[in-house]
Amino acid sequence: MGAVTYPQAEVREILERATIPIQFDNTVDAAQPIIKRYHHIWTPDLRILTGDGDELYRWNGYLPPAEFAAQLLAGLAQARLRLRAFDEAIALYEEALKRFPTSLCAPEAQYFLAVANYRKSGEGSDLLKGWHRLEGRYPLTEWTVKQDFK
Amino acid sequence: MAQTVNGHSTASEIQWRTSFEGALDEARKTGKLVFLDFFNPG
Repeated sequence: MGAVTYPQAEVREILERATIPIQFDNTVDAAQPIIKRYHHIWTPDLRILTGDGDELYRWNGYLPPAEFAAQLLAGLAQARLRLRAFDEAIALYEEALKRFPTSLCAPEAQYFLAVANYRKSGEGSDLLKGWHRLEGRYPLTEWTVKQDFK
Repeated sequence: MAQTVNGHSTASEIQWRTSFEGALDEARKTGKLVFLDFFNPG
């Protein structure tokens, strides 16, 4: 991550624009209180937190720069969605889909973009329209299965 | 302060914070979210 992903400009730009970044070496004694607080077990372990320390999104594992940037945007969008900042969530999901439409997390972004639009408007048609787009663009993903009850 | 070109940072390295409580406080003041990375140097 430190050698390949973080040095890339697209990753740095998103982190700097939207976050306060902090790292903990999990072999260092001083990190143990934070490790225990967040039940850390495996690296890379990435979390998005509120300013009160509440966790809003997480993922594990190495991702190359473009996949990481897409995952970060989707994670930030999910965090804003959970905070009910719908306009910010929508903008971040749309950015993820526009810049990284073939990324691994694009189906997740499309799924929750529909949710964010629905939560903002209260119109069921916004949810269904977004999920239909998910089925069309990403037909063979877990997120397509997860909306298939409709 | 990072320089920007067309609204995009040109900083060469991510400015990782060193204090967890300081990062939370900065997030509260700026309205940003905290990005927390647990890593293993090995």
